[in-house]
Amino acid sequence: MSNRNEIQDELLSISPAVAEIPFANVFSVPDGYFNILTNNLLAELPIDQNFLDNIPKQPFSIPENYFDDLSDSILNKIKAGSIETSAEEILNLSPTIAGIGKRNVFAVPINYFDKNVEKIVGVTLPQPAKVITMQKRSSFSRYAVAAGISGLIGLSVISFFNNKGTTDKNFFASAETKTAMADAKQIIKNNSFDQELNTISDKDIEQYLEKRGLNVNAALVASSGDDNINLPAPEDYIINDNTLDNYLNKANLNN
Amino acid sequence: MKKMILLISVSMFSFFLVQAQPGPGGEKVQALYIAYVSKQLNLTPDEAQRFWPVHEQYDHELSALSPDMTELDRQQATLNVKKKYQDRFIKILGADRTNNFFKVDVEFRAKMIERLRKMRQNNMQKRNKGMMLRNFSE
Repeated sequence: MSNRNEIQDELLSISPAVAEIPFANVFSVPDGYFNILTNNLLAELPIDQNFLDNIPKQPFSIPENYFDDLSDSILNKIKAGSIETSAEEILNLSPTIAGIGKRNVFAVPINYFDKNVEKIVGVTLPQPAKVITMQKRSSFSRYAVAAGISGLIGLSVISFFNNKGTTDKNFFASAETKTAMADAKQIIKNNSFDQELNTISDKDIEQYLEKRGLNVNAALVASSGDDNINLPAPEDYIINDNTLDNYLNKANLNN
Repeated sequence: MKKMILLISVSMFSFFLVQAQPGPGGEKVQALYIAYVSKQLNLTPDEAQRFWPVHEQYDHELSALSPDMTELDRQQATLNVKKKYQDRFIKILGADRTNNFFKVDVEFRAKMIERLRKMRQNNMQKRNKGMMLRNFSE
């Protein structure tokens, strides 16, 4: 009840006119209204005779009680043994075809196959396939490809030996090694190491040392410790970029 | 077929030719090195036959070290190569002479550096003398 009172209070604050309407059903229908409603509605609908006349009629028709007698009539027919033979059936369908009977109706002229064997064989035997000639490839490109491939193989063999290490035979077979070995033998034999050393140019020595990862200038500085010139202090290198060059100049070591 | 054989042989030959190019100016120093090491280690002909091919690989690996490495890395890499080849050298020379070889190798370099130093100094002195004489005559 308190719920209804709350709603009533709220309604009163919103609309006093609506709130004054008593709490009762204001709608009503006559007794048995819904029992006769369908008849009343149908009576109200206008009947369109034109529409009724134009409803399409079923195009097929069967005799009256057809299906009632159907099974009996089929059974009676079977019982009477009135089934036709195939010949009678064909005769009924087409007297012309029945008239042919079992005679061979096909014929060839006399000696037809004697005369036409070659012609027939010529037609029936498989014909040779059409030959399409492909464009001739130039022989130069083939040689060029072959040369390229063989070159690659050669290169890979060489790099294999270079990476894997020279075998004893290959090492002593190279012209460079042969020369160096022969020269070395001569030097040992003549005990001429110092003389030979004096004939070598500074460029050769530089190349030899640099190839083996040596910083030639640094090595020269390190080797000049016995000279009477003091080595530069570490901070000198920071102060002046030319410290090393200056020192080498002072020590008469620069190029 | 003849053409093909000719082409193949020409291409192979050219590759070998390129590969066989000796390093410029290096042979003389290399001959000196071989002479020096052979003498210091008293290599017998048989030992030399086995030693130098291995040394060639050793030298090749040292030369192949990247020049862009820092100094410390380069020294470490060099040491790694030396250690890697140590056992192979020992099989040919024995432990003592292998130890000796690494010393002799360093000695040879020192000799080269010393020689280079002297040459540079001589050149500089000659240049200085020439300048002094020119100044004097002016």
